[in-house]
Amino acid sequence: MSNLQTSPGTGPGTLWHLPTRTRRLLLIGPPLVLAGYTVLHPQPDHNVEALMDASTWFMVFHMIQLGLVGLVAISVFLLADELHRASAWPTCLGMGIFLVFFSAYDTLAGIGTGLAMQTARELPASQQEALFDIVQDWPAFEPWVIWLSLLGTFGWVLTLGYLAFVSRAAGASRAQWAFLGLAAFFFLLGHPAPFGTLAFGSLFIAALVHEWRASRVPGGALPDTSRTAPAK
Amino acid sequence: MVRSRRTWRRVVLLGVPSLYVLLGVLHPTANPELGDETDLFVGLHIAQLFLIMGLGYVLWLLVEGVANRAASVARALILPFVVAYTALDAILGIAWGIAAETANDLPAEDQRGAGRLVHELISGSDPRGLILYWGAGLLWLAVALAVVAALKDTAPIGALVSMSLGAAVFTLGHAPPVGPIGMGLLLLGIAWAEFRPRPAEMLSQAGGT
Repeated sequence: MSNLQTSPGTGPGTLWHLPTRTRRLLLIGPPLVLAGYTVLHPQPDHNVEALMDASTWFMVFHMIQLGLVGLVAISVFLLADELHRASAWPTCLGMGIFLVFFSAYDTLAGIGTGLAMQTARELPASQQEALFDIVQDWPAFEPWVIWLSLLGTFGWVLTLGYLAFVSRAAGASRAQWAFLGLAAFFFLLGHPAPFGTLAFGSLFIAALVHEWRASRVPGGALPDTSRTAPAK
Repeated sequence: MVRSRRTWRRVVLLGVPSLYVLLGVLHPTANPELGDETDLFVGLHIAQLFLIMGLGYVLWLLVEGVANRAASVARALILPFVVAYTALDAILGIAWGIAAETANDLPAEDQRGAGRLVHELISGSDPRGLILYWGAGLLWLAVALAVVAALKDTAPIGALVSMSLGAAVFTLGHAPPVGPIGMGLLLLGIAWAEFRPRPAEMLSQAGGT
């Protein structure tokens, strides 16, 4: 993990040796897709009927989101790699915590709730109410689930905040570090639209600015890092 | 600096699987049903989230600095494994436990619905549960075998066999008996590979005798 990527047709970075096009796709694509996807986040009324009606989409939405969260983690790692911070402890620990605990929260509060209310459709009305009683607190008020959400959010904020800080210290453009900071901040307010959209959208803009500067000026995304070879 | 990094590496490589063995030993052989105490079950699966994160790091450390194709495959598979195994833990562990715990407080006539939910979450007949269970397990097997393949030129054959067997057994589940046995074999293999005499060490030993 110590040799810089310098071969023709590949981008900068030390973690994964990827062709430039693939690297850009993985760096910029997932935040954009997830930003758009969070707009579709189902927000049914808080009652049995509404939750049962939305249950299948609620479950499927969070299954897809689970995969997208993994891809966004790759995007963050690639960006961190270009800042030469992919192996730094705030990156590894923060993304590890985010991946595990946000995924657990997403699974429990999203897929679990959807699965439960889908099951409820086949039950008598009184038992539907009972199932609703069990899962109604999962997305927001169940203590165990709240901790999963808080830890997952902490992991994201730790990594994105750290990357904003090191970007600024390394002399990256103001837009890049500011949008990284905004990606951390907006996620604190929640993952459905509008805040999730703003958080992942901010990450997308930060990655785009980084790539744009890197492609215009060799090494221009990070003027004073220890980069030893120009980006292709 | 190099010494402290090596110590940290060994603490992680041996500590995480050891804790996983302990978790497996404490894990009930059967998931709790309605009326059962669920605190231990939920607590163990919350703890397992930390261990999944640690296991991902163990796999990462094992292929750190290895440049062959198998190592690249292993690094690429770690992330989907972590997400899939977390989902498995969240649904079949935490959600199950919380559902059973909440249902215990319901009137008896309302508990049938909860029982149906608990059954849905992990019943062998639900294809979604099977896909999640075996998907996460097979992802684990794939990433662990990729790590073994990546280490084939550097680790002793006995260590590789032990790691492979451990990974295969652990694919069947983390509950006893397979969980602790599988993770124990993996731990043995890692320790064997980690503490094998390196060429420099063998030279210095030969010089000292």
